[in-house]
Amino acid sequence: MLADESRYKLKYTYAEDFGTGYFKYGPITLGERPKMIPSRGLILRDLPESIKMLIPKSVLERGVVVGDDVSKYLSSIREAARNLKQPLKDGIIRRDDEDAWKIVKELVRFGFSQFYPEVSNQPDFRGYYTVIALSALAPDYMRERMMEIHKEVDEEFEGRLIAAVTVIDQPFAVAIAEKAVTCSVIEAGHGNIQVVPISYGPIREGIVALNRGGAEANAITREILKDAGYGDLARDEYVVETVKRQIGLVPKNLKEAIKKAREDPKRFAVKVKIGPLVEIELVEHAWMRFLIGEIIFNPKHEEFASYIQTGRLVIEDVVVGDMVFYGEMDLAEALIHSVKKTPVEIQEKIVSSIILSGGAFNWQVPQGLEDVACTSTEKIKIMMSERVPDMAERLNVRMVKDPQFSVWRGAIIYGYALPTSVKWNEKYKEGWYTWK
Amino acid sequence: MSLLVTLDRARNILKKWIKERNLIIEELESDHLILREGDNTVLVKIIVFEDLPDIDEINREITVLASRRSEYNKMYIAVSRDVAHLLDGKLLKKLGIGVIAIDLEEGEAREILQSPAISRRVAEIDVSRLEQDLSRIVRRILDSELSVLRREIEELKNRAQDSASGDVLKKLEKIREEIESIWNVIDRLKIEIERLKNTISTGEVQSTATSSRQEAQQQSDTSPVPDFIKDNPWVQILANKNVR
Repeated sequence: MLADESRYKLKYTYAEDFGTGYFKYGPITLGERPKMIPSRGLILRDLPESIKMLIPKSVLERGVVVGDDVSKYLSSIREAARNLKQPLKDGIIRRDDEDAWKIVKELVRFGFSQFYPEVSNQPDFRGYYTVIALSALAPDYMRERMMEIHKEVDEEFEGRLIAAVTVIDQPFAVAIAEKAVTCSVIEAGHGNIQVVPISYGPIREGIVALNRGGAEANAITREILKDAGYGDLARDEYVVETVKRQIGLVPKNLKEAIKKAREDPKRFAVKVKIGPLVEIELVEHAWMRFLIGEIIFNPKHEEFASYIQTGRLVIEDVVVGDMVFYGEMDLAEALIHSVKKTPVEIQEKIVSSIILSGGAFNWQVPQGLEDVACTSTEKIKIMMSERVPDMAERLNVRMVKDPQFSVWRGAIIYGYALPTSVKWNEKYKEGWYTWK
Repeated sequence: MSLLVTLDRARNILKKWIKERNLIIEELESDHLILREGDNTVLVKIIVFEDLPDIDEINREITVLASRRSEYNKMYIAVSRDVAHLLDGKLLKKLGIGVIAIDLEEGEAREILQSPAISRRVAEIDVSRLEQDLSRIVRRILDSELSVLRREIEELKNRAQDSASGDVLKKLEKIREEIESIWNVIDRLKIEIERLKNTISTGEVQSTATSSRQEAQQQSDTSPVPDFIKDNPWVQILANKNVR
């Protein structure tokens, strides 16, 4: 990289991580941590006339607010629930979801607005080199629309805000932040799981998508609550999420774990305090705690059969664009399936270095249950060792060090290091896109 | 074979190779050697593995080495023969880093990629980094020596009741001598830092005063490199996309 370019990018590289829950953004000069706001926006419609008069004209014209302003206007809006919206569902925005695109544009504008007043006074500022981090499963139209949105926002700033934009897959950004050149990244989100092989870049042919994630763990928690006699509480998503986080366990071996829990239910019994007046207790149903963690890793296990057959749990394959999202494929199989699509010479290296990221891998092992419960990294090791015994000793599975910010950091490194002379290439999905 | 044994063996093979070429060893550390070849200062970094070679680790080492390329006239990595074929030759050639392949079984070394000689840019030696490196070395020596001393004091305490006072005095004398030797090391390092500072301020810096001023001006305009970017192998890999 040229010295001048390097110097410029050390000041003016900017990254945006479009997570389902939070939007992380900011320039390289922020250091270790980006700014973040919830990935949501409030569409300003159904407003009473009296309220409209109090809102600045420019905000009213854009028709959407994000960040702290959401709470300012929330109480004034009728049908707030309908108009308060999270634009990304499992990292993806529907092509025709205009409200969602409107919110995304506002998030972009909101982010840049915090830094532009200062940098615009710098004599050397010629626009930010901006990296947009999206799900590896994001369809092409999403990348294109994102670039278009950045172009529009740049025009609002008289073409001085953005020098060029590029797009990076979130799992690739994770690998960069983790300094892993050849590896597999498994990103487990709320609605889906992405397995992405990396070797000097993402190997697109090897991406495997699974149609399950934290949401399925919630679904099984809900069924457990119903079975344990808390059917009324099971309707509340907040209760379900809290209970899942507090009681969910990943078993080393589901059959053995259930056997032990049934033999000695008191050892596995658990109480969860939901509020000052509500408490949930599982004693004889305590063995079911292992189903919550297991479903992420292997929903094909016979223990889930009765839930699926009776329609209490729906896990099935779906097709989005040209990508199949497998429902029941277990994680070891998904990894092997993914690695098999990569060149033979690097397969061993890719499968032996596995990085886990995402909230659906966040499971604890309570003290005293270490003989049956394990962390996500251990679980993957166990599953892979059973499937490929020869690899057992060489498997290196690790959780990403800073799950919240690693994508943003990886995107910043990518923006800093990718030379500006590399122009956007539709085939490789890399390079800088510019409209100037 | 344990890593230490492998490293030791690789170092011995290299020493033999160096001797055959009448090169002079200026510094011999566990994982690198600094040689004198005529007027050239040559760094040879030894990278060996206990088990499977880790290409990520090699890339990390190469990235770190590349950032210090201007400090040496020539720079080599010495790797075992089976690792050599994993290296990215084009990249190494571009960085000006040569490769010496070591056959651990046959006990032979071979230069498979030459490192071109470049002029050393003394003025670019980063004094603050040098100081940091030296303080790190001092701290490491002190930590290791102090832990020995602590252990000995503990031992003395435990044995105080039943040991003869003569033994205790001898031990104390030994401790005094060791502390003195640590101070000597620190003094030597201080002198070395001063010497380097003087070399830099009176030597090539004067002749390139204008460019240094320009650099200083440019540096003042530059933001510091965030820690998560430093030593990241992806920086070099992505920078090479330019070539493609």
